[in-house]
Amino acid sequence: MLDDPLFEAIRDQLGLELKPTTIDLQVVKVVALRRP
Amino acid sequence: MLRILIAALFASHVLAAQDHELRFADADIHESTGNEDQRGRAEFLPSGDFTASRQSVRQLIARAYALRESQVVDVPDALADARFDIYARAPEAASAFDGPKMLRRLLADRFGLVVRDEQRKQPAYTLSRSGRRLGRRLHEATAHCTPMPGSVIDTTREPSNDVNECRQAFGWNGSTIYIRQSRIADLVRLLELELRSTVVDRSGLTGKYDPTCSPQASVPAGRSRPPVCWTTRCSKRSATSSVSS
Repeated sequence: MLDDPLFEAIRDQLGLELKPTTIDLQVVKVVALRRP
Repeated sequence: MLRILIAALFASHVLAAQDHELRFADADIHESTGNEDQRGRAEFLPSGDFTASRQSVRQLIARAYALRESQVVDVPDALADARFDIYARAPEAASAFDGPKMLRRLLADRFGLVVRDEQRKQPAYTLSRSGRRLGRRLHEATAHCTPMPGSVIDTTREPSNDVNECRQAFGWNGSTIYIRQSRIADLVRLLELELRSTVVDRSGLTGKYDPTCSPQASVPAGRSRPPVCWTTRCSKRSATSSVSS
């Protein structure tokens, strides 16, 4: 993934870096859903 | 007895409040057909009307609850890939401000949506500077612009060279990232769309950024505007040739 063209462009063209991580995130869990 | 009475009063108050909630006057919902590669879009109009094309349930829920798509979890497999076109007409008393709340109601009424808030550990990315210097395509914007209402953001293609340099634009064409009059937060939005994951901005960069082109050095004599340029070639070309190419 880190040699993906987008990651390379971020690094080479913008001088920025994307790194994988894990975060605690507030999410909405779908409990029920049906086709309308 | 008093507790039962209070509970009954509270319940009736909640039901009354729900009944007075704004809801779409009518809504046309059908499953999308046609080109599967076509990008969808969705927006609340100033009237509060909601229009959406080729939107997944995850996208609709994210819009209704003002979340990123990656914050909507456990969408049933049977509906995960389905796309919907919606036109929902708001009541006269509504405005775009009421849109998300009415969309939540619509999803509950028509899709039987029930959700629960949770805290989860999620894979994500951090965006940080890789060194002290910015990259060759990231320069602080030099044009002094008044923000334009309803700035167009087209992430599917590069804009033409004759557009106003003050219009915000950013995108990724598979090999080149372009940024014009945009903040790192806009880049983060673009990356989240591309990566389908949360991106946390730790760059510490503020302000607006433009594409490269060594701004003042390549402006022809007598011309005060900074160059408008889009390709990696432009850093080696004059402003005039890059604009007219």
